[in-house]
Amino acid sequence: MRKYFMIFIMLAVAPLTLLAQTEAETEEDAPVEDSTLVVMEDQEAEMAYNKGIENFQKKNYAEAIAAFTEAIGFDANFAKAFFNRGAVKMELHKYKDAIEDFDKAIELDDSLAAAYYNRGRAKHTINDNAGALADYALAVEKGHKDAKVYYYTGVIRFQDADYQGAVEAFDESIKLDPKFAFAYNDRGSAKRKLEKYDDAVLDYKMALNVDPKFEIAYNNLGSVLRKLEKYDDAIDAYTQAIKLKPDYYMAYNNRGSARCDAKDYEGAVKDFEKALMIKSDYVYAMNNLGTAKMKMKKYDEAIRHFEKAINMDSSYGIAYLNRGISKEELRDFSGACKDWAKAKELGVKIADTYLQECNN
Amino acid sequence: MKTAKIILINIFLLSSFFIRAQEIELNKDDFRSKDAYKSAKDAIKEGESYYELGIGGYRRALEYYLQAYKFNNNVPMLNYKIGECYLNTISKVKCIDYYTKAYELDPNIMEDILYKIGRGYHLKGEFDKAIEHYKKYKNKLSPAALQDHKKDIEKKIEECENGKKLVQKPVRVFIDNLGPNVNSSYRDYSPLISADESMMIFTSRRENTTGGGRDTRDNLFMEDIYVSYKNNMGKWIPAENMGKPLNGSGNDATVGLSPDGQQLFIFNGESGQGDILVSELEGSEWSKPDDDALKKYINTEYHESSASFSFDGRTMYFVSNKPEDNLGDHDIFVSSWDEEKERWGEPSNLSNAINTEYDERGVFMHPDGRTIYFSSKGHSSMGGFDIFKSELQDDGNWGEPENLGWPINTPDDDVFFVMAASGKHGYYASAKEDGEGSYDIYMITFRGPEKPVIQSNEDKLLASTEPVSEVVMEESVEIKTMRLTILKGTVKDALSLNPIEATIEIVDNEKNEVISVMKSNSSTGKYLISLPSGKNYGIAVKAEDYLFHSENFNIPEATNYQEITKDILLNKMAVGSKIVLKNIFFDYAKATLRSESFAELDRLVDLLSKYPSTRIEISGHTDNRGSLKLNTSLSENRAKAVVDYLIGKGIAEDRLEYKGYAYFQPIDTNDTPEGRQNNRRVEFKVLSN
Repeated sequence: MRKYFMIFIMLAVAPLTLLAQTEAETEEDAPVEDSTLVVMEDQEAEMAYNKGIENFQKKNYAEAIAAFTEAIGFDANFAKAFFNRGAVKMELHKYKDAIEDFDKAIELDDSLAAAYYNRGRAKHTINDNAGALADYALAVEKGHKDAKVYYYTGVIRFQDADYQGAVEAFDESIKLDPKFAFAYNDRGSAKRKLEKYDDAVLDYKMALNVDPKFEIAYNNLGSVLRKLEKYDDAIDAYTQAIKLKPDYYMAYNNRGSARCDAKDYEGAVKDFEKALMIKSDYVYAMNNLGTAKMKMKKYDEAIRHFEKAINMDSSYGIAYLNRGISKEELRDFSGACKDWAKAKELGVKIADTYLQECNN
Repeated sequence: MKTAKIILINIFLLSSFFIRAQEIELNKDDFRSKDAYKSAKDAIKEGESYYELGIGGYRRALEYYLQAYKFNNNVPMLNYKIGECYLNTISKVKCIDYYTKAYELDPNIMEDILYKIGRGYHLKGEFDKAIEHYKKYKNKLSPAALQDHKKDIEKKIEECENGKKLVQKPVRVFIDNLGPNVNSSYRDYSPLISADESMMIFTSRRENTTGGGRDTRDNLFMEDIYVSYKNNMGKWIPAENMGKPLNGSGNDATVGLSPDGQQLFIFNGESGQGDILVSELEGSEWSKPDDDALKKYINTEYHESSASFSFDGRTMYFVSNKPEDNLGDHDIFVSSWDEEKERWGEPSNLSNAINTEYDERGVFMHPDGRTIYFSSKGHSSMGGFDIFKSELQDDGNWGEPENLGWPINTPDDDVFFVMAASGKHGYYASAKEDGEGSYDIYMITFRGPEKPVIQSNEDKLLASTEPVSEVVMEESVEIKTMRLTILKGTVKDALSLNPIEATIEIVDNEKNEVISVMKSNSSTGKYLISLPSGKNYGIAVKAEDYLFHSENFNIPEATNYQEITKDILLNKMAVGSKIVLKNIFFDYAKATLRSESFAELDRLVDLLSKYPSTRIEISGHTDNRGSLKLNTSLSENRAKAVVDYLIGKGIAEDRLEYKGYAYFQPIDTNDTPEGRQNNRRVEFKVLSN
């Protein structure tokens, strides 16, 4: 399968919790503040710990880790140092190492609610959804009740196809932060999966209300409007998404499909071509460009596009299926049957139905 | 002489009422010169003489009228008559311009002028304009005339409405001219196709017609029957005149063909208003057509035209306009073969779901035994005859006829449609611009519903994670294929490989009932059997002095169309000859005979009764699974069960031996389920004669 690009925006949504400097620990994420403010005769551990935080803030992650490690060297039971070192490791995408540090922090102080949350985030990132979900629940139990922990709980439930459960978690998240645009967007998506399209539209619109520059919500709004067969409205929504993000190839591809739905094949072709100008190896747009050409009865051209899509990704069964349909239109029955057989082999179920015609 | 032309004239004729047109009058002053006037007058005179002959003369009349038209195109009646001629030729829609001009020159030229313009637009498929003219015509009629024509006008308007709907949803087909090896520059029509599409028989009016005569009514060559075969490359080889006795000096036209291509219905217009005759392929020769089996009930003093056999040859469907049991005009009737009296039995009207008060023609029963195709001017026709299909329901009633749709059906007459067993191809005659000439035979390739293309889209459903892709697909389609198996091949002598004319019995094993009996061709050994899905079929191939051969085809209801080729070799009743009894069934791992075996066992009893001195051995065989001990006793017990059955039916015990060979005499591999199935068998061997 083709690789999806990954937008790593965790920081934008939910900055990892790093416990603050010992002197200034007042955040609710830092329930350990009182116990760590013990003034010792020899404060080398604390000094190193504070140095770690300074380095973290300056994004000197290696130095930050060294400082937290130094603090732990002075005080092997320094739970917050383990916690913060784990948080820095997450910045460096060393999730397994981070989890070890969070484990140790929790072992030393099981009331450290933020540690459960952060460990949950680390587990979530390495696709240990069950582990993450358990940690998010523990974080809540230990008092870490913020919008983000519910939000990520909703995300995991969504990923596990528990859409109703996801909606409930996003509800909690929104209660705690009524300006949480991501939670509205994702709740809209969960409702879309539950086929409650009208409700989904409302949620996407809420997300846009909170954040009018939220291009993802515009794109999703467009897609759900397509499901409601409101093609003109869908096209408008995609257009807004494109205005906010001119290189939003995904929205161009989607708008092309909406234009196909509205039978504006010329317009669709332009959109698919634009998506391909932005991302020349965008196999979906290449396939969809072929389908628009088919609708225009330009079967030879369609076949060329499907061929390009197959060259981009030889495991893309849908392009084979579509090429087979084009070939059938051009009366190349044996070619069509070969393509449908290949599509079937690649898991496109409907190809099996078409293959029945090949036996005659 | 009443000939097959009756069908064609009746069918190709437009349904309209005729108002005698007046003579064309020319005014000398309207011509630029005396010579022009004279030339036009002469041409009109010639034209009028042909026009007087009626429909058969229109083609020639048109030639002269068009000559006159060159000199003056503003003569209202000349325009009207040119319109009339075109309306009755192949280029029907050309009538519109002439009728319209006639109307412009003189709105009262003829009472029916608006109707005729309407007909032109109707045939052109411009339904709204047609409706507009029909309505205008209706509004102008006197109350008395309205009384006479109201029903027809309303029917025409309804046809236009049907047409509008049908054109909106064209059926997905390819329509291909069969090319010069089949079609000629003359009229070629009424194609008949063998179930496997290997042979086509059709009617043609080309110049090498037997006797070389022309039909006086239209001056076209007499009808003859032609045949073409498909070669190994799937192409039709040049068609040949089938000669005598099928073709005589008169009109000889094809009507129906049995699925195996061994029996042919032809039309004879010389008795009654037209009767159906049958000819059989005996070896390589067609027998002289006769109606011995149809005389009593099928052929009447009325017009019997189209006919079609059922897949098993035991039922015939035919068209007649006889008044009894008739819903109006021609209807489709059904008759069963009377085995005892060797003739077709008393017919009955097929169904009021199929027949209407209007005309039904061109019946074709598909070899699947459940789908009938026919042409009708009733139902939801878009004009003239349209082709419809209806399926036999499980409750024995015929389903509501379905219009085959546009572009197969047109506002003109669409008739003589036949369908290959596969359901993939239909054949019919049509007059198209790209044809070899006038009516040509076309193959329709049915493509089923449009296959939806699939688009791929993706959205970032979760704002914080990677995009989620979603396959967007249009509505799914159901692909329908015929539920039918065509079994074909040859029957030959096992030693000499000479073709044998064998009797092929098809048995419903569960009901222990013979479904049909057919014969392989004596000169080629070829046979073809149509087996609709949903039965366990036993096939017994028998010939004088030969051991019978049995085959078993258990074809579940959901089995789609398939063709199976099976060449069968028959062994003489010689010592040592053996046959596998393929229709003997036992309960799993037991030696209890199942009732489905009785038909096969009874065949064995018949054979032994016919050869009373023959001694035989019945042997049981297993596959190699399980222990030798078990397999030995199972094979022996099974052989004994067969012998016991034969003894029970009166065969002397001392003529029968039985033996269990376990898995020591395999006839196939034991590595595949099919191979093992073949190895599990009961055999019959001749020990002495």
